[in-house]
Amino acid sequence: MTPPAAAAAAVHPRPDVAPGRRRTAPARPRRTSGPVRPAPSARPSRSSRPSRTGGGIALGALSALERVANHRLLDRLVRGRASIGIVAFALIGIVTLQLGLLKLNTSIGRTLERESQLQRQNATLSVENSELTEANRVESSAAQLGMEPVPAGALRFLSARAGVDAARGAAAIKTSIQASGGEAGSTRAAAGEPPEAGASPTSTSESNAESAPKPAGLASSGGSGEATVQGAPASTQPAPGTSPAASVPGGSSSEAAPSGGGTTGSAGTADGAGGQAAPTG
Amino acid sequence: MAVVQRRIGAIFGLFFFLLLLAVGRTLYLGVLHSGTLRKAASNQQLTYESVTAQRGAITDRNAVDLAVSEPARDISADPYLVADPLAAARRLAPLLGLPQSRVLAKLSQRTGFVYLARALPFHQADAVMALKLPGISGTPVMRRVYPRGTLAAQVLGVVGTEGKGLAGLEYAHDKLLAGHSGERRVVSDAIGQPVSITETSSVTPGTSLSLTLDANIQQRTEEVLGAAGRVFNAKDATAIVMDPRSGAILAAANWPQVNANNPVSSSPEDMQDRAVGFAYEPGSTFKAVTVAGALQEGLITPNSGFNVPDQIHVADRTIHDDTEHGEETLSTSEILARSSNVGAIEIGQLEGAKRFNAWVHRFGFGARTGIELAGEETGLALPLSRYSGSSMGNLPIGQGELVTPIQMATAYAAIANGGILPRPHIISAVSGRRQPQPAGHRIISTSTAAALRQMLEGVLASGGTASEVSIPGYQLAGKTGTASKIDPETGEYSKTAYIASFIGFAPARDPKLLCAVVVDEPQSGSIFGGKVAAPAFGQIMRFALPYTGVAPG
Repeated sequence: MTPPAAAAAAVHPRPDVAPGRRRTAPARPRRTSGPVRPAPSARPSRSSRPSRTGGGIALGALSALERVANHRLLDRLVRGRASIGIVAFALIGIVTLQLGLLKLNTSIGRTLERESQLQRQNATLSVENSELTEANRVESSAAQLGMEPVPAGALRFLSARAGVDAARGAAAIKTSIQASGGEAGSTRAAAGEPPEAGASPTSTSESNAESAPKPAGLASSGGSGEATVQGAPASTQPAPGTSPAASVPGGSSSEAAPSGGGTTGSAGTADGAGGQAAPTG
Repeated sequence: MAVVQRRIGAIFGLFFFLLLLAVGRTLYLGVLHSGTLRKAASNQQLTYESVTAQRGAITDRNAVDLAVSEPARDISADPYLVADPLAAARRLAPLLGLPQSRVLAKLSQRTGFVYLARALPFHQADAVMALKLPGISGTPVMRRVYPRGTLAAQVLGVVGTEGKGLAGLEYAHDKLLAGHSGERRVVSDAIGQPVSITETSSVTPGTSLSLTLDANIQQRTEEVLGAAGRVFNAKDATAIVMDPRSGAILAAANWPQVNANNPVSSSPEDMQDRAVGFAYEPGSTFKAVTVAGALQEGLITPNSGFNVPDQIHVADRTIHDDTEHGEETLSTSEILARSSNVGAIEIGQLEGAKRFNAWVHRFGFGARTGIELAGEETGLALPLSRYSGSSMGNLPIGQGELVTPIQMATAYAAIANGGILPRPHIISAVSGRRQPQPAGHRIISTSTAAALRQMLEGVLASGGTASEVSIPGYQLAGKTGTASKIDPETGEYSKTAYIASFIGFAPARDPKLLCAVVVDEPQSGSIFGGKVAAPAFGQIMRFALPYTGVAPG
């Protein structure tokens, strides 16, 4: 326990301040009111201490506060020039913090507005996405590209050949792009031309295409009932959101599968077969 | 020096006076008018905003959105604050999409609050708020949008103006989909910019549901069903496409269609999901159950012969076959292929009421299948104690019991998949987490199922009741049904009201897809399942089989 100021001064006499130096604190001990209490001779025993309840805690807290208030360091700090700087720094800090807080709140408002805007955009895009994948729309788009449905019975599923089909598929896709969207494929088939290098014609749809019923709205680009789908390369697995619908010429391991609404890709087959040429059906 | 002191005194006095004024003003504002000013400040600066939780989306198995929520506003008015209702109505009506007279009527009400529009799309609501009309306000809400309009409308259901699911999946899974709304405390500055935003209660967005439905199969099924309904001038119709191996529903179509974005334009009857809520007498499609039981009990084989006249007397009733014929010997397969009532009754009688009743319940009739759709009916499978003398004259041919299309589809799925009665399901994932596939249980042996599948092929073969239906490359199997309906006025079977149905699967030897079509009261053309429902089955499967990558076979 720290002794009272007067007692403390008696125990630890302050050295004299050097001549010519400004004193920041009184040389002599500060006067305290009330009688000087004798320094405690010994630490009170636990049993003799006031109980740590109610008034005891409050008194303890008060005395601690008093000690802090009377501390020399604090005294020097308050009386010295540094206090001006500290107070100024604290004031500027508080103002800066407040400004920052205001800015933060304003930006939260803007962010919430942005969130709401993005939610609206997201919902609009979801609706648009759903409408764009609508089967009839995809069908008519496919028809414009020269694709037409393959009759159900014309499908042939082949086993995938690892290492071969991928390369042939890539080649067929390249060919397809060069052939400007499937028209060339059907023209070649109609004219009996040989397929592109690395791709062989398939009989998958040729044998059946002649008798294939053509749904309304789908134009035949092949003419004279010839197959417009020559086949497709080894396919990849169907991507979510897409349905089997592709008309890619080339590739001997080809299949045909109709689709109601996808763009490209293929439906997986039971035997893990390769690609399908699949106009919408 | 004295002058300086006087001036200092004057300045001191001036400042003291100003200080007194400030103190007086402070007392005036802070004490005398504190209540009013606090209220005014609170009104101007402090608002509590309700943050509506975004309802979870419903998607098909390919993540195509079938139901999404978008922010919207409820537009309301305080008619007491609307100075010129006529002018306000003139400006608001085109933006709200309402007649001017209706808006004026609302603005002229003697009340402090009236809704002008509920869940108005945000761009429209923004235009309304931009008018800055006094007394008009907008409350943020969520608006449910069904991008495909009529697609699977009865399955998805609808959401009410208060954001509660009222029908279909929206109702059955409202707690999951809805989430929890929250609230924000917003303090704004003089120009309305928020300077403090505190979340008083947090918002929890709704959970998304991923369905087993395929939007493309669903759409094609609805198109085919609609065509059948119109051609045969039916009362209504329903169709189910299912994966018989798992019980996953790929399509559940209803006709007439309903626009989910505008459900009030349809009758409540049309909103019903008949796939689960329509209880009907199945007719001949039930004969497969009768035969399955007898086969499994070892009482018959596919080749067992029966002497079949064209009519049979059971108790006080006489039951006829569809066509008159002399007594002939038919095998079990032929009884199914030609859908002989007399033959099926003979098989049922051979089985006996007790065993027959047990098989009816074993196939799941009289109980809900457990599919996650709202409004599923149990149907009616009589307990043995309620069998009358003539019960075994009509129950084996599918008259006298009530079933739902989903029950029939599930029962046939058991035949298709080798004897396991699956639990049909339509939800594949919740919030992106795949749901465990409900397990089925075996009800018949694989050999019995295989024998039945082979017999059901005969229905679509030459001489069968659905011989006109075929898909090149695919072997089909199924059963037609033409059931008489009870006339509610007479309590007897009607001579004009029938239910035509067909349930089948393909490829017959290793079924991957199953389709059930039920057409209620076809009025023109034909009333027979083989003519009305079977062609629809064929058209649906013709699309669905190659679409799902099922190899011909």
